Amino acid sequence: MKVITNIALKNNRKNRTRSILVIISILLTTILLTVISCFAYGMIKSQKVNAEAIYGSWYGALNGVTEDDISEINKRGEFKNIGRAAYAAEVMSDGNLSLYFFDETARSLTNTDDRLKRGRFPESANEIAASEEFFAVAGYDNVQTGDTVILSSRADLNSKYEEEEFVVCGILAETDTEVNTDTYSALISEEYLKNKVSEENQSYIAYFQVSDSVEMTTDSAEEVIKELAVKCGIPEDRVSINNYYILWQLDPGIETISTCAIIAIMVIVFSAVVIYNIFQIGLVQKIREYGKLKAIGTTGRQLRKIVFREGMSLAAVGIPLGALLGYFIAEGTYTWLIDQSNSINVAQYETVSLLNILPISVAILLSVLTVWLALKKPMRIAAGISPVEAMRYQEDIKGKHSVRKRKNTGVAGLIRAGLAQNRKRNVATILTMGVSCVLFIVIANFIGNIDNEYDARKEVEHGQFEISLDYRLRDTAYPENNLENILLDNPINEDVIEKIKAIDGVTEVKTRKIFLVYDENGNKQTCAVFDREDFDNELTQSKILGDLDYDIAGENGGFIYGWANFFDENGYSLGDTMKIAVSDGTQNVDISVPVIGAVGSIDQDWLITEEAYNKLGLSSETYGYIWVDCAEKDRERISGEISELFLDEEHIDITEYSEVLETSRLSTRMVRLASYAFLIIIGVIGFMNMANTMITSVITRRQEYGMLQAVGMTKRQLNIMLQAEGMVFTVGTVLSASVIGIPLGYVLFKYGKANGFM
Amino acid sequence: MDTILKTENLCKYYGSGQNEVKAVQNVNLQVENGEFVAIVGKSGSGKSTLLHMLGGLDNPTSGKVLVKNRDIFKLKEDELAIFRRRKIGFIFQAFNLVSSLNVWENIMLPIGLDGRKPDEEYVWDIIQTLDMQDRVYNMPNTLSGGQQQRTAIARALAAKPDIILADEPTGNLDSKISEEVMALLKMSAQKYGQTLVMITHDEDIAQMADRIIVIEDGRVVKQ
Repeated sequence: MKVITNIALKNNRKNRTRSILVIISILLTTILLTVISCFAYGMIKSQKVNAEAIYGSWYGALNGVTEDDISEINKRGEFKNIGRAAYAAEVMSDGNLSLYFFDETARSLTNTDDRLKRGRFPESANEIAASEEFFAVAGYDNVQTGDTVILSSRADLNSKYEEEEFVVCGILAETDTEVNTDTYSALISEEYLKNKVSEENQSYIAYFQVSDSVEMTTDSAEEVIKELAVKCGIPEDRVSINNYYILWQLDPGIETISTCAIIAIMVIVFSAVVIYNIFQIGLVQKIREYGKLKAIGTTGRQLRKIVFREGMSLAAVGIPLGALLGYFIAEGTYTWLIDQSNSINVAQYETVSLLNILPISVAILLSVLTVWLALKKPMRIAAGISPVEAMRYQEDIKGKHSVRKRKNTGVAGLIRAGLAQNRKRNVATILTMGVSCVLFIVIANFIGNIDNEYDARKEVEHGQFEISLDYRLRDTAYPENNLENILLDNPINEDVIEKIKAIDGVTEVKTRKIFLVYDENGNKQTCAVFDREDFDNELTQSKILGDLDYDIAGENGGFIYGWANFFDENGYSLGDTMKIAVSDGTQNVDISVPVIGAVGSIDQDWLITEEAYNKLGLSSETYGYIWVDCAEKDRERISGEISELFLDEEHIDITEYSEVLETSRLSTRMVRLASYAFLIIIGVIGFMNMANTMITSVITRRQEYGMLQAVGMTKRQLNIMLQAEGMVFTVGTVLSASVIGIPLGYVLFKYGKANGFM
Repeated sequence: MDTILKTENLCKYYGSGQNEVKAVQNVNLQVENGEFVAIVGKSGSGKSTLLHMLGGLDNPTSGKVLVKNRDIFKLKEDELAIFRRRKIGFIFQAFNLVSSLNVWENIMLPIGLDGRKPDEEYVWDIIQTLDMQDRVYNMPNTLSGGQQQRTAIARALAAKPDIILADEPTGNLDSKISEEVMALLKMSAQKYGQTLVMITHDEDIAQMADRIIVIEDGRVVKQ
């Protein structure tokens, strides 16, 4: 036993280059595996810890329920911790502000308690708690607890705004959603709610948890909860489910584990190939030596052990070091990623420590497995050596070709012959490198395909600025907010458009008209007028029903529904004729029009072509949108000038493309960061593989190169030969990678897009 | 006869101080055109080092090697490589064929490296002389030791070098095959008018040479 270990260790010492290469490979493998398993562990642990902090601890919510419903639910044992919340009023402002009531349980279930920065929650009718941003939008800067604020609010579209004085009792932190949607809400007391909203109009949102006695799994949760609601007489469509919280509450993180397992398997396969290559090639050099050992009586079993111990003694150096380094890298990167995420998200993740024996042990075990896999074949070869064969061992001894009818001469011939001789091994190397390249390309492609511009263009369709009408359809208390009345004195008119065109630096101005449609029952809807460019664009981007063509739609004056997904549900069918009235605010025209199709989603209910609009005989100034384009350098100045133009206009929204783009970029940053991290991992493995192939190829053929030089090969010719061989590998790798990688990356992106994680 | 190969005070020392090994010391020898010279000596006597220097494979510590009165160590590295493939044919003990090339390609290697158009007729003649005509497309690993060495001899002859340097060409062969190979080597050297310098420690084989040079501890003791 001692002799065998001794031989193994001495062999390692003698083949220092090989030993170092193997240790580096094992080290890298272990680092990668440790990082992956620690990350998986951290993600699961963090999600469990943070699920409640991020998503709240409610299982479901029932919308639009009455006091009676709630007391009914309270009687049932399946529900526990039922909290009430209610919308109280809308606050008059330039932004979107509203007042809500949350009882204590609802506050706790939705993490609203954690939002309190100073003070307390409202108790009496005149108290209010909100974020600084809420007060700022309402016109109060630097609000402190104890300050009084005056807000105009109304409970619904049928009421008038009323001014009320509030005492600020608490300051809240803004939520993620508030910042993203630019909609802020304040909390008021139950007393205020009761005063503001009449009892018959009062509806609540009931947040609840499900008792432990109710059996459910991640998959069945939604169904179970909806059934419970129906039992209480609440229709299914009024139930919201807190899916993410339920997922983490009921699921041990199978998805994360399986994703990490797939990555780990890839790392193991690549690393095993790299380590195997190093051993295999080392073995070729040492085959004579093993033959001698066998000749003096070493058994096959003992030779296996020698090779095994050679590998494992190197693993004994590489694995612990790798696990240690891997852990620190994982911990550092993880904390960094969480910090990054916290800096862009309002929801703050709590950092968790990754130090746990389980993921690290798993990584160590996997590394040992990798080395063992890599050693399997070399062990078998060493054991099977016959001493006689070993004395004259040449790697290609089993070469299929005993005769090759060619007459290649010169360097080119040498290269061809050399590559042809080891065809199998060369193809294998090219493919392994190709596959790691494929992964590289797939991920790079994936990142490249995350198209923030595309996302931003969904919001601001053209140019740098979008100026659009901010209108309502059914505001009875303030009818001036309704579209038909805004159109009477449209803030977006020819005059304004001319002024915008006259702004120095504006390169392009594009407009879109909108108008009103009254259906047979007199319900108000909206319709947009698309030009050819936007029409064709819409067709390529969204789900479409019907055979749509701009010219045909213009000719027959057809109407296209703007919500293809609800087309049937709302009672429309292709080819229908509908009797409608169209209106530009001043005049209503009764007509019958064909319904010729539907598109994915636009901001209005219907769309028609410009030609069709011209036939309706409505005003030519029903502009709903202006898009303004300019050079980047002029953007800020023009932004100021446009805001100036619409300074006093209540019914105008101005959206800047650059801001939307920035928001989109921030939201995809985490995905990008994670993908880049993975890219680096694959790059390192691929590089190891390539470096190893090149180094070992030179080492094993040293003797041949010497002989070639002896018969007169110049250094230059030798270089040309090595470079050409390298080129074949490079070109082969690049070719195999691009042929497979680019389409695969595209498919993955399509898949991601279809499944909504991009 | 003209002197084709000449050395002047050729020395090769390895290491320094106490560990200095004088592999070759002050060797002065001359080889005439068309001569067959055997260099004989015990293992470790410095004969291989000497041969390597004669062929420009190894640099001397001091002294000169003159081929046709030209000091080959004044050549640059790549010039020396070109000189080797044009003027010198090597035959090694361990046949040293390129395993990925067939017999024909191995024979043509020095010519191919030189970018010259091969004189196929001449090469075919050599192949037939060496009785390898049935094996021209075989890969080296399918040849016997004798066949491999005959291929190496053909390679050495094919480029029409001025000098053939053979380092124990029969060292790996049994005595019957050795004699056969030697006979072929001598015969072809004569036939193609080439100078042959051969190292051997086999007295019988040395006797086939025109002249025997004995080397002991790096010095020429008998010319």
